[in-house]
Parts: sequence; C-alpha cells; structure tokens
Amino acid sequence: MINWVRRTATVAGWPDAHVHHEEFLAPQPGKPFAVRLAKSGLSLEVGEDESLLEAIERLGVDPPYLCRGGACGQCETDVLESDGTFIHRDHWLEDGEKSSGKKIMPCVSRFDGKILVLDR
Amino acid sequence: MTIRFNDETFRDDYSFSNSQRAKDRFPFPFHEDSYMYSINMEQHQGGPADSIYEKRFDVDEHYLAEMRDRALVLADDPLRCQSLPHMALAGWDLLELIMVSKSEDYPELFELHRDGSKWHWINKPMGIEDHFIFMDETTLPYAPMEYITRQTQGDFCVLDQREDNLWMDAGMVTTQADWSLDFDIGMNFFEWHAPVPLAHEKGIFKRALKFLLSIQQGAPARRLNWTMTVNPLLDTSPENYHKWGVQKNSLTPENIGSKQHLRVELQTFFRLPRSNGLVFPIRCYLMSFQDIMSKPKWGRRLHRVVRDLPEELATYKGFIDKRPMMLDFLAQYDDGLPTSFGVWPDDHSEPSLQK
Ligand code: HEM
Ligand code: FES
Repeated sequence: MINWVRRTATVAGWPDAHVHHEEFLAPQPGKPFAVRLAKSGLSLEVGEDESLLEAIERLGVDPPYLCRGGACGQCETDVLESDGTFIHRDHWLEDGEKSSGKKIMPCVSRFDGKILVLDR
Repeated sequence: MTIRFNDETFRDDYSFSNSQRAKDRFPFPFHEDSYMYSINMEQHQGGPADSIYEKRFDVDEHYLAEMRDRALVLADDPLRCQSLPHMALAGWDLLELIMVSKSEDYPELFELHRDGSKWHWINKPMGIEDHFIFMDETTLPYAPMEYITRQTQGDFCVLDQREDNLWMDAGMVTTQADWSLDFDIGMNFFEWHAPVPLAHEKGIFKRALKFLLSIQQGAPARRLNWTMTVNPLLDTSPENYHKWGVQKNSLTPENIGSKQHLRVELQTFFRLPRSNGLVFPIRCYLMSFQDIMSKPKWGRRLHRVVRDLPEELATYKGFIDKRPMMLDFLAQYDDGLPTSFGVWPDDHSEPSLQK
C-alpha cells in the first residue's frame, strides 16, 4: 500500500519530500504463522497484529531485545529449521545472512511457510 | 514530587551540586565493566518511578539554573540558536510537543489551555505566562523553537527528513560536548557524524539512520551517550574552547575527585507531526567522580571502563592526557569484586568497598 502510494506520487511528479510515509516501529501486521521454540520446548502461532518477538514474550519466554525496530541487533535469533519464505524487515542482518535462512530478527521480521524452528 | 530548584552556577564559581535524589537518579551509562559504541537505542515509553526516563522531558532541580546559563550563552553568541527558513513549521511542532508533554507530565509546574488556535501557557517555575495564537509567530516574544527551548533543559537539534536522510536544519545548542551548531547547520546525518571514530566502520550510523527514519509519531526512542568534563560546565563548545580547554590543566591528584565530572547525555528522538521532522533533545547530566564513588558498584565499574576504553575513544572524548591521573584516583575505589549486570546502582545488594 505504502509503496503503491509512493510510486503513484512519484509518477505524478510529486517531490519525494512532500510524500510522507512512516515505516511503523510498532509491529507491521502480516499473515499468521507457526513457530517452534526448540530450547523452551514450546510451539506458538504468531498472530496478525503482533510481532514474532511479542508472541514469544506472550508465552513467558524472556528473549533479548533493545530497540524493537530492527536496528540494534540484540534480538538476533538462530533458525534451526525452516521450510518457507522469510520476510526480513530489519536493518541489522547483512544480505548474505538474510538469504542464508539461518537468522531472523523477531522484533520486525516474519515468515511465510510450513515449518520454522528457532534456537530459543 | 515537589522539586526544589537549586540556586547554582555552571561557570565562574561553579556552585553546581547534586542533591541525594539527583545522585540516586543519575543515568550512569555503563551496564557492564567495559564500553564500546553500539546501537544502544530503545523505546522511550517511561521507566522506573522517579527515574530520568519516567517523563517525556525530565525536569529536575537544575532547571532554573540551566535556563539562566542558556540565556547567558545566547546573549554572548546568538548563533547558538539557528533555524533555516523551511523549519518554521517544525518549530511549532516542537513547541506543541513540549507544552503538551510538560503540562500533562508536570501539571503542578506547567499549564496549557487551548481554545482553538488561542493558546495560554503558564510556566510557574520560571514565572512566565503568555497568551498567543498557535502558528502566528508575531504573538510570541521569540520564534517558537527559541521560545520553548529557552524554557526546556537540554540542547535541541531539529532535523528535516528528506532524500532518506536527516538534515540538521535548526537547533538550540548551548550545552554541547565540543561540537558546533553553526558548523553543522545544513549537514546530513553522515556529515555531522564524520569526526566520530570506529562507529562508521562498524555500520552503526547506517543502521541507526534507518531506525531514525522510521520513528513514528507517539513512539519516541532514546539512547545514552557520555563524555568527561572538568568543572561542572554546560557550555563546552568549540567556540569557547579557549575558556574551558585550559581548565583541564587545573586537575591535580588532590582536586580531581571534585573537579572531574562524568557527563551523560540522555538523547531522545521524537517524530514531529506536521513537518514530518525529527527532534533530537540532548539532555545533559553531570556528576563528580567523588559523588559517583558514593555508589560502590559505580566506583568499581568506572575504574574498569576508563582503564580499558580504546585509545581512539579516550582521544575523541578529550581525556587521553588525563587518563593516568583519573586511573590513580579511580583505582582506590576498585577492590576487584565482581559487579552486577545493568546500570542501576543496586545500593542494597552491592557490597561496600573491601579495602
Ligand atoms: C538525529 C539524531 C542525532 C544527532 C542530531 C546527532 C548528533 C551528533 C553530534 C553533533 C555529534 C558530535 C560529532 C562531532 O564530534 O562533531 C554526535 C556524536 C555521536 N553520535 Fe550522534 N546524533 C544523532 C543520533 C545518533 C544515533 C542514533 C547514534 C547511535 C546509535 C549516534 C551515535 C553517536 C556517537 C557514538 C557519537 C560519538 C559520541 C562520543 O563518543 O562522545 N548518534 N552525534
Ligand atoms: S530488538 Fe533491536 S533489532 Fe530487534
């Protein structure tokens, strides 16, 4: 949606600075997905309006975090197994790490697929 | 909490002091026994009761003295307050943000009454009361940014956001740690950060900027930064280096405990609603070495941090020459015991000095 608005505005000749948009620090919504936390031995479903980090916290697990905006690196989590597509939205991981399927930043990123197992 | 405002100075006789409350809530910036730059940003949504994080804009016992010091700096050097022509709207945004926050967070000190665009502002500690028309500059004694930042502790950078960058296009900067608004005005995020060692290579600024660009209204963020200042000086500007730089040489092993101050900045980041700018308040807290030593955990830790700080940082922060003298003093307060994790003093659980 936001991308569409910006593209349309650019095509219509609006200078960029006059088209304000906010990438929300609050979790961006997305399709629900299932996760297994290997260390804690828990399974959960991440809802549409919560982040993966919030879903993990909701189960009483206390994962590390600081900025909750994909920049500080504190919440970096190892992926043990996956079958699906990562929706990386952070500014922390290098491109190679993003495509490796071995890391995820749960404060902002999501997943679309059948299996996701985290080292948490 | 009623605040008693100190009658004190940050120049000449340096009568500045911290009450017990101010010492207890000092933002000691080290959560472990070493320090390196990192993306140490978190959300600014309150904090422990009576801590400096609790309110959006912390008002403390130094308020009136800091405002007097700001007025003196401005009288000497009006260029400490600048705003490029396109930043007028951001100035109103900032005035609104501060007036609304302070009147909600400190109703006994500040009042804001709004009737459409007719606004009525009361600042009781400073004895100011003004009626004005919001967005009409002619109804205030100063432009809006200057008006409100003459009544609010801390420096303010007001950033314009365009071309996926932030531009330092306005500010009120009288209590800075050796950088100059007049020099940085019009620069972007990478340009004004150019002098900082090591952080560029670590990708800190690239990532931090992306985070800042996505800060949204009502969801401010914060971080701490720190340096060292000899004498409780607020105005350590390059413009006045000839006045304060030489004071570093007045340090002696006998007076270092009272003269040497740890200077901590609480930096916050707020999105501005109409202009889509970002405001960056930099709030300065000073505490003398000897006061810090009254907290055993902070004493142990400060010694270890200063001892092990990379040379590039000690040089950039301007205390490499005095580091040996600092360490002689600080070592007396480090008995080698382990410290607990986190910044809080843990007065009741940390053992007192064992030597
Ligand atoms: C838009 C907001 C910001 C403004 C206006 C700002 C401004 C400044 C300025 C003027 C300096 C002094 C540079 C000099 O030596 O001339 C500085 C230093 C620095 N800034 Fe920023 N900054 C901002 C945000 C950040 C963020 C988000 C970070 C990191 C996460 C950061 C990290 C640093 C560091 C590490 C230093 C060196 C400080 C020291 O060692 O004392 N800044 N900043
Ligand atoms: S909490 Fe900072 S990157 Fe996730």
